[in-house]
Amino acid sequence: MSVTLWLFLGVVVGVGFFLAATKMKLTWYEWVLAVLGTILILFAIQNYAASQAEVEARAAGMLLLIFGLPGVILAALGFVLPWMRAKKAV
Amino acid sequence: MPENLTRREFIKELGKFGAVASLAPLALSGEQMSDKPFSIKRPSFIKEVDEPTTEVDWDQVKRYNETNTSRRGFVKYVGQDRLDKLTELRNSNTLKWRKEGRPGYTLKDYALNEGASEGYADMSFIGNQKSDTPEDLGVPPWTGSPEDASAMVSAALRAFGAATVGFVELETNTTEKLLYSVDPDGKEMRIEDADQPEEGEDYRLIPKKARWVVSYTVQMSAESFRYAPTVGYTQTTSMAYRRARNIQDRLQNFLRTLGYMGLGESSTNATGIAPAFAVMAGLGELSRYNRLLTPEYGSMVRVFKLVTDLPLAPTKPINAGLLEFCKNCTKCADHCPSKALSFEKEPYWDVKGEWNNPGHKAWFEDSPKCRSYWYEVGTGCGICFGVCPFAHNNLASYHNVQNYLAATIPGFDGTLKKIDDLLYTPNTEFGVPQKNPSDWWKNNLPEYGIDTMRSVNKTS
Repeated sequence: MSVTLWLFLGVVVGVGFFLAATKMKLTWYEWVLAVLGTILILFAIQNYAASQAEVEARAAGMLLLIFGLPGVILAALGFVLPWMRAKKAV
Repeated sequence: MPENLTRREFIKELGKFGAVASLAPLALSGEQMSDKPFSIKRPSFIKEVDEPTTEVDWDQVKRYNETNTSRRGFVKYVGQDRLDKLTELRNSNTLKWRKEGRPGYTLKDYALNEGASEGYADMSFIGNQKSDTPEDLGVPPWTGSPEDASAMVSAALRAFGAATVGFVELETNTTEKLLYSVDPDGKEMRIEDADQPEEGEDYRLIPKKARWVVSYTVQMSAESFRYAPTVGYTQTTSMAYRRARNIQDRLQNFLRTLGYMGLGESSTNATGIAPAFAVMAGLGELSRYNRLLTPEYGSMVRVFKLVTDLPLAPTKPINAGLLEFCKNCTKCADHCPSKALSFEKEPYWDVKGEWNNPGHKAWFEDSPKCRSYWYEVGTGCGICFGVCPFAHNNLASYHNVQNYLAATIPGFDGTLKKIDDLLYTPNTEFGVPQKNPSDWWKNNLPEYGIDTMRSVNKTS
C-alpha cells in the first residue's frame, strides 16, 4: 500500500478520534468498541490492498469482508451509541 | 599529527600509529574478526533448536545412492512397459491439448517454459575454475573467523540470487551421511584424505578437509504455482533450477578467489540430500509433502548445496511450528491427484520404497505414483507446493498472523487450514489449476515473478 494512502488514513483516524474526544462524550466501553473497530477496519484495508497486489482478488474480497464487517459494526456502535444518547438528552 | 611535539606527545602519537599499523593488514583483507554467533535473522517466534523437529536415528541413516530416487530410478519401479505406456500417454495428451489450445498448454506456454529453461552456466563438481586465485592477485588466501566466513558467504550468495542461506558442519556419524554414496550419473562419491578434490571416470573425491556444506534456497513464484499443473506454470520451477546453476557457478568462483574449494552439484540434485541439509541448517522444516517448508517462503523454494573447505559457523535447526502444522493439515495430500502423499497424522519411520532414505520420521511419499502423474499431465505437477497454506507472498498482514499462530498455538492449525481453503483454494477438483492459466499472461508480476524484498536473511 502506498505511503500516501496510509498518511491519508492516519489523518482521517486522527481527526476522527480528536473529534470524538472533544465533541462527544464516550464511555470507556464505547472507546473500546471504537478503537477495536478502527483497528479491524485498518487491518481489513491493508489485507485487501495487499491481496490485490498479490493478485489474489478472491482473498482480497473475503479478507475485507471477514475483518471489515465486524470492524464497521464495532466502530459504528462505538460512535453511534454516544450520538444516540446525546440526541435522547436533547 | 601536530607539528611541534614534546617527546612525550611524540611517543603517544607513535603508539597510536603502531596500533593502526598492526590492524592495517586485517582491514586490508576485509576482516572483522567477529566471534558473534552467525544466525539467520528471523521473528522471535521462530526458535533455533539443538535437534531438528524431524526425528532422526543417525545409526539407521546410510549414505544414499541417488540413482535410487524416482527421478533416476523410475523405470526400475514401474517397469519398461509401464514407462513406455506413460510416455505414449504423455505425448498424445500434450499434443491434443496443444492442438486444442488448452489453457496452460498453448504454444506460448511451451515457448515460455522453453525460454525459462535456457540461460544457465554448466554444472560442475569442481567448478569451471575461471576466476582469479589469491596467488593470481598477489595476496594470501582469505582468513577470518568461521562466523565472519558464514556472514560473508551468506551476503555473497544473496547478491548472487539465493533467498536464504545456512551452513552445516559435516560429522562422520551424522551429517556426513547426508552426502550421496553415488551421484546421479552413477559416479561413486568418495570421502578421503586428500589435498584436492578429484573427478575420475567412475568417482568423485571429496577431501576430508572439506567439512562444511553451504545450503541455500532459490525462490519460486507463488503466483505461477496457482496455475499448476500446466506447462505454463512450470516455467517458475525451470527458472529456479537454471538460476541455481548460475548461483552455484558464482559461488564456486567466489570461493576460488578467496582461496578455497567449492564442490558443487555435478547435475540437478547431485552431491547430497538437499532438504535434509536444509533442515539441519535451519532453513526450514520437513513437511507432509516430504520436502522443505520454510518460514519465509513456505513451499516456494528449491534447495541446493555445496561442499567447501572454508571453515564456516554452522546455523542451527529451527522450530517454526511447520511440521506440527502439517500434522493438522492434509491440504497437499487432499489435492494430490495421484494420491501419493500420506494422510497419517504423525510422520513415521517406515519408508514406502527404495526411493526413500530410511533413518528419520517423515511422511514418506509414493514417488512412482507421483511421477506417473507427471507423465499424464506432461509436466512436473507441483500442486502440493501450490496449495500449501504457506505458499503466499506474505504481503497481506493476515499471513503474519497465520505464521505467528502456527508457530505458537498448534490448536489453531486446523482453523488456519480452513481459512486458507476459503481464501485461496476454490478448486477442489483433482488436477484443476486454482486459477485460469490464461490469466497468468495478464498479470503484471515483478522480475522472475518473485518478491526479492522479503529479505529476512540478515546476519545478526
